[in-house]
Amino acid sequence: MPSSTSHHASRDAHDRTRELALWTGVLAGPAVWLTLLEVNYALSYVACETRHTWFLHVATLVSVALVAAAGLWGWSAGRGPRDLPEPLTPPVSYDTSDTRARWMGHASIASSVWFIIVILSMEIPVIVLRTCQ
Amino acid sequence: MSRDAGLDRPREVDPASPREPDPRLDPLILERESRLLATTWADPKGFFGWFSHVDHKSIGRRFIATAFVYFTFGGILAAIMRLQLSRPENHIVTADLYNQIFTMHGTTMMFLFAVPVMLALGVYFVPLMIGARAIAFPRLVAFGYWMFLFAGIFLYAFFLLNVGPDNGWFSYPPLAGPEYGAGKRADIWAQLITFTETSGLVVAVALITTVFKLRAPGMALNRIPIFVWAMLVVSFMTVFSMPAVVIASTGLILDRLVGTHFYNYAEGGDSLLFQHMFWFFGHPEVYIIFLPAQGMMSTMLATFSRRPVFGYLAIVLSIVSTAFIGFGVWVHHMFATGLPQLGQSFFTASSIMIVVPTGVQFFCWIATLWTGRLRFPVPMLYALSFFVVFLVGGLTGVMLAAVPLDLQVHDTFFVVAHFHYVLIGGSVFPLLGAIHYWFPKLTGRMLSERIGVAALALFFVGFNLTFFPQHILGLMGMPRRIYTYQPETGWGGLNLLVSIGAGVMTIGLLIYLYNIIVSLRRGAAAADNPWDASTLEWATSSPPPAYNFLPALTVSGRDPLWEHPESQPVVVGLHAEQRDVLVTHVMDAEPDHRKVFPEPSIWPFITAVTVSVMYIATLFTPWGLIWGSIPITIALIGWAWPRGRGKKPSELDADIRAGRVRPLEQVQ
Amino acid sequence: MNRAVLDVSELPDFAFHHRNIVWWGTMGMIVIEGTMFAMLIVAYLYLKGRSPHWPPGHFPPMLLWGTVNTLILLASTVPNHLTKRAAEHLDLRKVRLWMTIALGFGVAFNIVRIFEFKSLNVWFDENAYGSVVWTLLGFHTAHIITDFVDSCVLLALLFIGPIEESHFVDVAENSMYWYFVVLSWIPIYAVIYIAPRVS
Repeated sequence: MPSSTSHHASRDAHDRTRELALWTGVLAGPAVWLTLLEVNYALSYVACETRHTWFLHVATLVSVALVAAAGLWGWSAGRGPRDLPEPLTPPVSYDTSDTRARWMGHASIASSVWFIIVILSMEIPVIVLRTCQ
Repeated sequence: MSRDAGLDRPREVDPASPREPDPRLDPLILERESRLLATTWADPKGFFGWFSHVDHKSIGRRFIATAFVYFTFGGILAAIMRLQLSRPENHIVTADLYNQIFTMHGTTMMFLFAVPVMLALGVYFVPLMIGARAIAFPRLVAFGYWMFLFAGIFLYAFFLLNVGPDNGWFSYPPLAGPEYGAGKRADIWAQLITFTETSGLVVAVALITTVFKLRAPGMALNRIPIFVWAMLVVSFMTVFSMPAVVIASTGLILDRLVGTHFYNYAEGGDSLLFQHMFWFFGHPEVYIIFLPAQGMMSTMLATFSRRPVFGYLAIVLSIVSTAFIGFGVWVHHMFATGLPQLGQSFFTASSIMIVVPTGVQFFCWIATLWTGRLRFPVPMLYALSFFVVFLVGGLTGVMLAAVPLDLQVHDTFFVVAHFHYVLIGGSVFPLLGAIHYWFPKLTGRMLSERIGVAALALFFVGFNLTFFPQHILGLMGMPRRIYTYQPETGWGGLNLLVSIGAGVMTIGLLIYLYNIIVSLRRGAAAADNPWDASTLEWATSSPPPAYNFLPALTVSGRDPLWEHPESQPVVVGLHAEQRDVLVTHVMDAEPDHRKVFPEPSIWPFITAVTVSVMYIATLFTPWGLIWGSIPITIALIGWAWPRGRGKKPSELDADIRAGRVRPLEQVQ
Repeated sequence: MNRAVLDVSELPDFAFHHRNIVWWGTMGMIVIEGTMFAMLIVAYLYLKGRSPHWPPGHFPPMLLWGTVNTLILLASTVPNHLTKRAAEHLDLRKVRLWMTIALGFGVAFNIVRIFEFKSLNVWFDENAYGSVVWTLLGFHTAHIITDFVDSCVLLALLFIGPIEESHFVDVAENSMYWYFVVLSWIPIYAVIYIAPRVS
């Protein structure tokens, strides 16, 4: 991949990582939850055949862990470094970019907390119901 | 950390230091520039010129108008149904015609009105709200409009020939399959899907690109207007959900026309596969209809509370959450199909949880109203009506999310009542308010307040009279999609009430239409910003000039028109003699490069014609796919082949080798 | 008027990768088509899960032509990558060269695809298995045909003109789409050729 040397990409790799962390923090919650839903639905047939549910519980735990990690990663990226080397292109000031990053950091935490709750809501039927009708 | 050579970075005069007025902002210079821009950005005039328009405002207006024409057709169909059901054992229409009518009503409202009108408003208003001169891929958007127009013409032509689809708006096999669905009716339904999905998908891609890449400098992600966020999210939903219905309907066409067995149990197929794939699309579809209306709510409530909407982050996250969770509830349409209980229960959980983000928005809106300085013009009254009507629909939705209750009322009028409350309450009320709100910008005239209030009052009362009793009818056991019923059922009285309510609703809508017609001629002339709103579409004339803004704007906040507009920098340096558009970066809208946008072109129209011919031909022979592709290929070559600008390849190559173009570092 | 100005006249008039809007349009198409393939694969797996014997009463598709074609498709990514690199360096001659070579691979894999269809060991109207296999292979075939045709047209333009620098961006994005057509084949190959041989 040829290196993009535009001024936008002349910021160091840390900035790219920061952007990735912010987007991951916001979107990991819903993406992991949706994946878990599909996996749970498919595994519910397996649970009925084998009469086991341990793998459903494991899936929930793994999902919660992933979302929590992503949320924390996004949040810490939102607090970000305070020493970007050069002013950005006006009227996009450093403040603009920093405020936007912090906003995404808050979004990461809120999104992750909410989707952990949604993930746990799906754990309820696994605990309460029997595996086959 | 190396600093780039400054060539590719815009220069800005330090706003803090006193300076001479910039000569490019001299009024006479601006006047001349505006005339040049008007010529550059003009669409061709005349009848034939109309077919090659690419201005997003021109396409947007006709898109909105066409959607409302289809809304009228859908409403007429509903009126016929209500006439038929007003008394037991009525004889206004036969059973066969009634099947076509309820199918056409649902298909029209869902595929030809609800989604397209939202996309259409996005086409018109998103570029304006982000301060851009154009929508991305204007010819593609024009193509999307023509496909939408042809979709409706196609459907209604066959309906008038008594070949209208008659298996409900979601057309399940095996009833719609080769064994039970004789004739072409179900094929017409399936191909209508193909038409409308083509249209929706191209507009969605254009909107995503527009919102990410064409925003005014300074409009960072956290400064994007909420309606624009809603259109962005909805475009993503479209891109991920419509392929499912394309595959579902393709499977249906193939089963019917060439003998495949996707949905045929006898040969290993499964009709539930159709249901899964359809509803994997179908549920996000209703959120595609609902979320833009939520965006309109935030927009109007903020303007008429004279304060920014409360809880911007919460609202944006709610829209995103609703979109994602909306992909995880589809099995709730299949609770009566005998799927395993544990599997279904996951979807009960998700169908209940999806309410929470909407609830969060409700409370943010209430907080906005509570702390605002309220005004009550007609758009505000529509917005306030939403609270009541959508709430009822949402509550019955939570009820239906529970499998035991759903099994009792599945396929009864209770479900019909639920979805009309959420669709009309959740989308049509805000939509009618938003049309009223944006009418000045679209047309340069104000709608009449008095006529508007009368229309709303009748529509509100009529709507509730029509649909509230349907909850009761459903609980009493009246199934949906029946063309008549016996007097002994005792449903006659409520049905008569419902039909009267439908009449009142219709009168309300006719008065709304009358308002539009009368105001187009005699309405008060509209100023740039008659509502004193805060977003950028109000920063230009009503209606806007072809080039949208002069000078092109930058922003420093979420509510640009409420936040010190005088000291905000403006953009200079875009060429006026060609269609220059500023392309910015995704995160913070830093200026990146300029792109020349395409001239008006007849090729989108021609391509839409060739694609439509192929779609129709394949209904009658599979060879239509092969032969039909040839005119499409020719049309696409005509579309893509450059005209006017550019050099001979050998000349361009020589220029590049001689270093007469950009240094590579600036463009890679 | 004493407003500050942001002067953009020195900005370039084209840019590569996700900086330019054509990348976004191409990505949009990739996501849409990719989701369609994913849906078809899910339909295949769903039908397989409902069926006690899979493939029902048939031999699985012959491995030979599908595997040969997979190798040709993967090999075509080399001239494709070189086309993209040449485009990013605005090197017209190299772009023409590598695109022509890539199109040669394109002719090959379109022809071998015919043999793949002939060696599936099932017809589309025999049963649901045949239906979904033919549709999956058919959808991908539609992609390799249309990608081939549109690449030919683009190459023709690069010989005939008129062209500008921004057409190099179009070449780069066309290469990205070619990558998609090749890489999306891998899960489809796995589903058509390997899945029926497993379990």
